[in-house]
Amino acid sequence: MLEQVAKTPLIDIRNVSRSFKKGSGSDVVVLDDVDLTIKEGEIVGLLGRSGSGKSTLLRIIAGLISPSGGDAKCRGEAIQGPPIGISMVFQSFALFPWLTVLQNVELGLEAQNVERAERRKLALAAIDLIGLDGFENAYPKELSGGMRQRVGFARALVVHPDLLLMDEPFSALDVLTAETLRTDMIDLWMEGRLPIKSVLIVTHNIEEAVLMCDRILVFSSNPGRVARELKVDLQHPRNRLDPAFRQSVETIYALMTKRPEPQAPSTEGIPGTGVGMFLHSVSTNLMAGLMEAIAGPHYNGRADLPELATSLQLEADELFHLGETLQLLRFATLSEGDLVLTDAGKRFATLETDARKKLFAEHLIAYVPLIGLIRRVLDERPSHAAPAARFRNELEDHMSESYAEETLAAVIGWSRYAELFAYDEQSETFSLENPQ
Amino acid sequence: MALYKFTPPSIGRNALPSFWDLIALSLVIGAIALMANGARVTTVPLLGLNVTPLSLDPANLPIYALRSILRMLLAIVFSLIFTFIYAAVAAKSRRAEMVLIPVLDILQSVPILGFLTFTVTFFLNLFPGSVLGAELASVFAIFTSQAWNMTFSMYQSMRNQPKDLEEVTASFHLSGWQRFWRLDVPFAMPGLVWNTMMSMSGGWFFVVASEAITVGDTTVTLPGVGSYVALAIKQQNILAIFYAVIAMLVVIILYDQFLFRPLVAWADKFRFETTSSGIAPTSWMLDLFRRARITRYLSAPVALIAPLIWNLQIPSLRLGSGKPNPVASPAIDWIWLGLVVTPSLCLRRTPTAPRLNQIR
Repeated sequence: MLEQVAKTPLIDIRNVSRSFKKGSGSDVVVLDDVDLTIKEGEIVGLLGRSGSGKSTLLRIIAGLISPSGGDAKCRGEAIQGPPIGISMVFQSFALFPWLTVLQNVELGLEAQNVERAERRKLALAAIDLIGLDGFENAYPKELSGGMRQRVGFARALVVHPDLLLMDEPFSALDVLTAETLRTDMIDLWMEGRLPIKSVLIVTHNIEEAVLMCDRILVFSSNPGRVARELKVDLQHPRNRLDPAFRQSVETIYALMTKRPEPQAPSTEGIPGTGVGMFLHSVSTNLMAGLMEAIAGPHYNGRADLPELATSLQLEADELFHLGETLQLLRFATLSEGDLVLTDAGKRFATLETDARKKLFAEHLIAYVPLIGLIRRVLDERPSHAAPAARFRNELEDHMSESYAEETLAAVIGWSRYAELFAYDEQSETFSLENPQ
Repeated sequence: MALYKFTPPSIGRNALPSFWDLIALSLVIGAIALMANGARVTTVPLLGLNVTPLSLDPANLPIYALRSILRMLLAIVFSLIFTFIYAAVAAKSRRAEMVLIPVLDILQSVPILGFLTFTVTFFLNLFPGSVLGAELASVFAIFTSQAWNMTFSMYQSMRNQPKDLEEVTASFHLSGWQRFWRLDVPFAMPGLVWNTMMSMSGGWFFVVASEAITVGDTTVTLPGVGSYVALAIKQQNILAIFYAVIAMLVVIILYDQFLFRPLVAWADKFRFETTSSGIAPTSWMLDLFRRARITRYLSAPVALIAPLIWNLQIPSLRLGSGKPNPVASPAIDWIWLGLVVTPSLCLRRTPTAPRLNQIR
């Protein structure tokens, strides 16, 4: 009997894919042919950039969305609806503001119809375990972010789940609070005091994954696939300054910045090609600041991404977006976890404001097809004006509405800086006229 | 844990009722007495109304006002029950929604006063010879002016719930009934309270129209502020109208202070904001009841019964809670649409049917 249990994995995901309907009728594949097995006694991390489908996979396991293809099994049975014995911690905490801490924690037990006295006993034990003593009667809005997420943990733990799902549980917290919570969690796990068997954590924070997980699945985006599976064999508690730890972090950075196989000349890490290219709305100030920093004497034109992330206090995701945008604009290249300035990038860092704008404008026209298109349309039209809807529709043939919106926002921000064309927010039109 | 135990106050200083207790207790007893009095007079025979005709003596105004208040209060209670059921069904079931929301839209735009004659006949026949029938007809008329926007508000809130909280209720296996009391109702509460206030003001218009009910040749005049105003206008008694306006003003202030302000202050805790911002609304009445120890005794039965109600194991109705089947769903939608539309087409065709026969 025991052997049987040991053999059946807690979670067994085979060839699972998931697609969503897009505006123009075709489907967007967010998760493509993913395999995942979770056994008892391990902490598994899903690491990837935004849009790599890792949260989607988590929700498939939680039974909140169903896969479009493949098999998702929990203890050998197909997942249909939220399975018993799995509970979840949310990025947004997802507490009920009208319930006290105690009532929030008791919620899961109420649903299981646990008797009142027993319910209270279990809830108080969970509150005690997670360090919320004395806050039983407080409402969530009276608590700090860290305390709120502790309530989220207590609520998930009180039902004694086999598997604890964590959806970016620390990313809404400040750095210090997040670190405290992480170490508390790991300590309890190592002491065997958590009433759970396994943990699945979704994160985009590389160090967090290396700090907590026994096994990390690195996702590639568009569509989401498991790019690599890594084992982390370091002893808990792990030390961020340990060379082995740094080595793991470096490896993952390199993995995540590796250029995909070339498909078309201008992709290079940016999904979509030509006009239908998705652009991250990255501020020009940040780009300029980053180029200056890398051109500075400390880096001399070549910067290590993990080091850059720490010194600039940037999230890895943010840094990737920045790096990729610079790469698209030929101001820098990403390789093996390093960001290297091109000659244009070095020149940009030394120029005065007006000259910078001119250089930036040249690169925008040359390397961002959408901006080239808008410029051409504006030049050709006698009125020198065009509604944004014209370009938005074109974008939505290639991507979802929210992505099209962000791409347009990026284009507007960059071309405003470069003084390429003007945009009127009220009438949503692009025009060539420069307000004097 | 001790915080939650029901602890009877220990002997000594604590046993003496506090100042707050006295006020709270007298308010509760007063309210019960007023309601009992109001209920007693509704069961008298219909003929009694003619024996004691309405008088414009201002001394009668308080009792008239009380009866108007009770009618409106009863109508609000019915509106609330209607809202809970109607909005919940419309929000949970996509197919019910296809029918219920347009119907609600029609109901709220049709002048309900036109239906009054039908409903009055119905209610009078329900309780023949008793004032109760006329009273219910009046309450129904007020209800029709109050219910719709409350229902829309609730429906709107239920459609706009935060996605993460919906995921919490699903992943912690809350039943539909538990979810209704834990998420749906609390989340809708702030909007519902404001809409109830609006409904109450809208109800005043119908109070005047519904207290003097004419069916055929007989006119039933229910004692109330509305009928008082109607009579005063008929007799062109300006002074009486003035008294009535004062009475209404007093009633509105009382409603505000004793019902709505405490409700608004109480509903503030349901606002879906994770940070406390702005100035929270306050109510002296709510503060008073929160301070009075007696509230704990009075509300103990409620606190005991309420969890039992929302933890009831109601078998799931499967009202669209299952995920829509992408293949079967559109087909069933069309069948459903057919079922809804066909009868209405048939109804339209009926008058022309004889003519077709004649031609043949």
